[in-house]
Amino acid sequence: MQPQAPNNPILLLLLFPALGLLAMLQGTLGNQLALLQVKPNFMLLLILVWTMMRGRREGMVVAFLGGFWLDFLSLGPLGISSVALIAASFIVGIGRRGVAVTHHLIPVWMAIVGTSVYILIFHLLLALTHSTWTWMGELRANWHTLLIYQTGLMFLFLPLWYYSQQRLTPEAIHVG
Amino acid sequence: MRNRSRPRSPSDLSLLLITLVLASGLLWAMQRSGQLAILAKGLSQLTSPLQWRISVETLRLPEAFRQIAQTQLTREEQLALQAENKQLASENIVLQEILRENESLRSQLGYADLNPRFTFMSAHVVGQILGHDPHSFLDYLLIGAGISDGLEIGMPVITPLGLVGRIADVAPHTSRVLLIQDVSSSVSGLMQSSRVNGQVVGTSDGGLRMQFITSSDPVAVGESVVTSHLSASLPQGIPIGTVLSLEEQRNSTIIFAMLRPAVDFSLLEEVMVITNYEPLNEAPPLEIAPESRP
Repeated sequence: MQPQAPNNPILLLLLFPALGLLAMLQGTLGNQLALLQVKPNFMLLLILVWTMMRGRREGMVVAFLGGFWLDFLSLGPLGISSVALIAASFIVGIGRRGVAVTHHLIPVWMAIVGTSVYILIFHLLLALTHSTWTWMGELRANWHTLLIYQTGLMFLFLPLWYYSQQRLTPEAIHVG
Repeated sequence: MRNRSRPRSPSDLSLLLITLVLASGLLWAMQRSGQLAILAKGLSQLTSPLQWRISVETLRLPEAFRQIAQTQLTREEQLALQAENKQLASENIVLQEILRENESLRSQLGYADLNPRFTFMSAHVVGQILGHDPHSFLDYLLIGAGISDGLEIGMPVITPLGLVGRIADVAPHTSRVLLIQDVSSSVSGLMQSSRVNGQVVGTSDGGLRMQFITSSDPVAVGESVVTSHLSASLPQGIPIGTVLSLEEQRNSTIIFAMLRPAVDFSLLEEVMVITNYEPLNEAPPLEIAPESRP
């Protein structure tokens, strides 16, 4: 079993504004990086990687905070993104045990499963809270492009994460 | 790393999951009942300036990258001109931004002069939630003006080129604009030449579709569509788009007109909000700026 990093309240306090900054970047810089009208979801990427590297407990807490910022900054219904991100973190975290975190298929697993769960839950909750929204049409239009984009970004993002982890806390990553 | 905490059981994880989901639900309920208004106001006052700054800076990024990519000087020349290039590039970016803003404001001013009956509030676009990422299934636009600027839900949002949408939600310093291309948006439209009325709705691919047209109506591709006098919530005469194609329904006399929006929503930087429009059926028509005429 991979070791759990201890929960640090100060880290969480610093994390809250940092996640806010990331959410702002997603709403602005994300538009510049749109591909076929699909924008990258930095917050989802971060949470999936966080879950895989540091466990589901931390991943879900970060998902809750990050989701709050996404909903708050978009003036949308609070809680929807949080629940969708928490679900993605929870499901992706299931595959964490017994798998080497540096395995080359991990980014694919995280991006496909995590993004799919996130989209499904988000669509479902949006349909419940937004009666006029046609969710099936949106699902068909977006899913495949977003999956490909998120997987590609995950391949870029994950090595950066490994590198930073090894530089900051070399003992934190145990493979196998 | 040694784990100093006690071993955690799966039930701990389930408890955390349930707690976080319930907390999310509680946030939603409190938001709906208005109990988070004060907290949201305070947080919005903290984040709005930063959000606006990030938005402005990210808009400059492509231009900066383009200039860097176009620099094909030798290493020596680069070293010799490095300081000057940096300064000029920086000044150029700033000046272009000012020029663009100036042109936009001039255009808005001209539009406002043509329509003296209405009061316009100019606003920067501080965040775009366009496209179809997981958090943008609804097509919204965030603008840097809110309750403190006198904005209210339902106010029309336009540019000199045409209709953008309506204010869907307001915060102290920001507002959310529901774009006409959103699937939940519906606007009464009028074909300018044939005078055929219909309903313009957003489509899931970010386009516009005019419906309630019959095959006997003399509509044509290329015709301009403006807001109709039948619209109770918008002034009539605002450009919506032009007819791209006509789609017939099998075994039906109903046809759809697919429209090209008059406004490119992905390039919006400045918009105008009509702050004094009273939604009446007999609203005065808006004059269309000459440059926005097809």
